[in-house]
Amino acid sequence: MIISSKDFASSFIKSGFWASLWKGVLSLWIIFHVFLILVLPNSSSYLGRILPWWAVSYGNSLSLHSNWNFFSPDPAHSMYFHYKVFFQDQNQTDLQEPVEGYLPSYKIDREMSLRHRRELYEMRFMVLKTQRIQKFIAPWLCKKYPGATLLQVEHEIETIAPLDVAAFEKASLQELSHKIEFVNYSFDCQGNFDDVEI
Amino acid sequence: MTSKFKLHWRNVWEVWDKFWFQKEGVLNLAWMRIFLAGTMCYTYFWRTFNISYFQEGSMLPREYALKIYPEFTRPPFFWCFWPDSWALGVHVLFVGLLLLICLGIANRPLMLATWVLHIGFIQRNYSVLFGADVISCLLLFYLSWTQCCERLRFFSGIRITPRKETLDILSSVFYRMIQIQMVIIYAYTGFEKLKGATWWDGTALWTVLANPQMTAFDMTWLRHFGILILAGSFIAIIFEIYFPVMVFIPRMKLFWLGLGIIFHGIIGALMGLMTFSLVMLSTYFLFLDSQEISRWSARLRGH
Repeated sequence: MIISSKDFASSFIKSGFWASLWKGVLSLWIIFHVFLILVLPNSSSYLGRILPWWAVSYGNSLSLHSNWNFFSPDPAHSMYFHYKVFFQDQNQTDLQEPVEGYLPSYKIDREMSLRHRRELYEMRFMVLKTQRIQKFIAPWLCKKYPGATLLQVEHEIETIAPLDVAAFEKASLQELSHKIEFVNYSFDCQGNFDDVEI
Repeated sequence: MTSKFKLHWRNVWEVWDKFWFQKEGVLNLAWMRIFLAGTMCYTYFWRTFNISYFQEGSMLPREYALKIYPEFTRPPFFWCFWPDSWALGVHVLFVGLLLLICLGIANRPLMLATWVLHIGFIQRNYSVLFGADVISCLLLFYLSWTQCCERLRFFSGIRITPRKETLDILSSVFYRMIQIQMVIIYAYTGFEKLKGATWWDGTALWTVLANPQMTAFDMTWLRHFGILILAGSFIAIIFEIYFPVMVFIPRMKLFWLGLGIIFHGIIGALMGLMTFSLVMLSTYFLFLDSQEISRWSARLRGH
């Protein structure tokens, strides 16, 4: 069963020692890299969990860890942040009219510019963890409106009626849609946002 | 027994060697380069006007750029080596380098430097990433190691060495790596969809097309053509899951790539995701036969 070095060389080396050595090194890298391409997008799997730290670091430094889950497991419904900024004195009397706005700023209109797309993606990223609203959105909005004292943020989802319902009901899709207010936070703009863990 | 094993080993090595180290297709790489770098050039030219996402006023402060990554996927170091105040300048440089790559006036070190800038911007604000950003980053990395600028150069007047027709070992390896990366991406996107109840019942596409945040046109008239939604949802899953197999079966390859062009064309047109579609389609050149590409290129040049 043992292959002699001569046989090995004859099958492995065709164009000189250095070329073969180069191919051997590249082959090891190929196996390693392809293995990571396969495993890292599913990093919560057993294989992903037992990977050594250096392999994970290597993969992460090249962005091999991305989850390739476009529109899955299920496509998202329309959603946005609805915020209200208050400008009050110590007695909670409004010094000026509160400002209302949305993130993304266009709410749910058909707006396909790259800027608005990024706004939408940013909102969807932030909504995944409630701490992110407190850590990033709240201080950013408070800073955006100088003099702001209080901020209220709601995450709202406007559902899309299931196809069966939409197909058989005569009502418009807007009428069939439900608005769900998911979280409603109030933030003190003078408060300390640094202590929030993300 | 021993001789059988030796023979088997030799065959395995020969197949491996042929697959990874003897790929042909300088022109395939060149076409992919033009499409990928061209699409990136367009996308990131427009990002110049949204540079605030990568500057001090961004919602995501610099000190949290890496911290927001889930712990397991956090990069070990920050490729974004420039301060936020330089973001605009670095970005203009980045777009300029992409233009050079698109024109074929680049080499491996220059392309790798461009990739470093790209991944630096990606890491600086992970929250505003498109799928196109992540995939183009991976593709640019792989392409940087190949001889993709050997052919279809805009300016080739100062060439000293003769024009290469065959790929070197490194180019061959990375050519194959792009193919492997793409088929795994497709397979994952298909498998991930299988986790979703709406994909199983064939109505997922409805949720996408009826969502005004996701579509460029009002597609709600499709509510009266449920069968189209059903067919589209299942075709999308079948196309993605079987892509890794079909593109390596010569008889099925062209049909599947054609299906991919329609699939990405529809996504690009209806959902305003044309840059994503073009990034994905740029890799299709690598699945075509190098001789087909040569003939096609010659025809384009009128030879």
